Amino acid sequence: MTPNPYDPKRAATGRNRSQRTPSLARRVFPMVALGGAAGVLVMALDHPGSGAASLDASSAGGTVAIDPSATDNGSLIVDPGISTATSTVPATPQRGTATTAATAATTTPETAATSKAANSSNCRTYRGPVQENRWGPVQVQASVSSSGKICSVKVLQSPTGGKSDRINANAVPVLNKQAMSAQSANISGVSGATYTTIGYIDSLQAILDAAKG
Amino acid sequence: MQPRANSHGSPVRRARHVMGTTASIHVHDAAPQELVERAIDEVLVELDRLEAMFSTYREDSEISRVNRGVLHLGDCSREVTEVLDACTWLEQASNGAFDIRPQGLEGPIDPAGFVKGWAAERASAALARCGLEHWYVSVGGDIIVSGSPASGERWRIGIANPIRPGEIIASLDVEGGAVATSGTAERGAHLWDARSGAAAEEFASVTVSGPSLAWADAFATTVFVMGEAGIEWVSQFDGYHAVAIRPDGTLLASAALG
Repeated sequence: MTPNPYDPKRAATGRNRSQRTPSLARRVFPMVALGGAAGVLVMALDHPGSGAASLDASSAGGTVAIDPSATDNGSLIVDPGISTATSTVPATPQRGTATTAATAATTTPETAATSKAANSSNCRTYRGPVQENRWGPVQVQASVSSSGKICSVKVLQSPTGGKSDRINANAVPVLNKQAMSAQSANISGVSGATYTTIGYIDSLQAILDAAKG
Repeated sequence: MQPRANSHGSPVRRARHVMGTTASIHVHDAAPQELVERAIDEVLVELDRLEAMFSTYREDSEISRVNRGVLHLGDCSREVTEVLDACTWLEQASNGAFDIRPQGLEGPIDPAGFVKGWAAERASAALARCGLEHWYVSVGGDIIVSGSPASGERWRIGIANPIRPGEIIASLDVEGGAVATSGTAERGAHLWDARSGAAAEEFASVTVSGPSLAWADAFATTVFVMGEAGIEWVSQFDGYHAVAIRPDGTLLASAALG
């Protein structure tokens, strides 16, 4: 998927969506998802025109639960090929286990989860309605544990957008895991979070600039 | 890598205070000094213009006027509309991990988590418009690069050690694109307090690289709030990779980064 990177041409011609105040439901969806089935049901009822506003509730093992087989109107919309991005994230043993998406109006997470009762984890998956934005449609699926911790968040739909043509996205960066001197001659600059780097990044950059100037 | 027509020359560097931090611009093209200086001027002018538009520290900025209720969202500039739309998109795509209303629905908007990277990316486009190909722009540690620092080389971006200020804990060699880092200060999600704050303490900082600085910056904030699940979340977006630093100083990186 492409996160529709900033594109000046699109910006110049895009619809002005902000002239429409986002509905309250759109703003509160994340809280609703955390709130559980009752909240999701409210959301679904609030979006009667959204065919994808179905609730898929399932449980899965591990701390990361991606349900690859949830269906929406019979078509597979969850990408099962998503790579496991980290070496420390537990595998998802439930990958490939079929779960039929249930309609929000008639199904609670409890009943849906029961269909996968063998799972040891208590992460349940909730799917939000499809939202439209100038940046494209977006639909989110989140797995939430009984304690309210987010196990995983997955974008089920996201828009495709133009990339900046001067960027070669295939050129994967090379990560050098070794610590090094901040004054290393090979470093062009330093990226850091503001709170650790107020002053530091700026002063270091100034040093680097001066040293190389 | 795309073919580059411009050859490399002696770098021209300039730094200036803007947006409450330092913008540092390096141009490595073999180009007339006058052209390079004018291009850098354009970048800085645009950063100033965008700061005046978005700063919550300025009473007359559009964001401040929206928050005071004297400017309607529908009457905002194209730039503000674009940023708020993008923030809304990401709020939904991240299930609320990214949030520009830290005090709740009725509270003020603060799109700072998106603006710095977005503004740096937008302003740096002036360099390309002037025909420059090999350049580096950093606005407070949010970095976008084009081309290469020298023939056959990649830009090497250090990642600040969030635990031991002054040290570089790792580095990323990039051909072009963006590197942005977020930490505690960028955390703005009231929503996630409901999660015992556990996820937000998983990492000391998160660095995201990718094609667009606007999104790399916003994704870094998002992954920081999401915690470990965010590493996988961000990998869904083409060309975006994350390097997280845990409080004990160990690294957790997207699989593609090895």
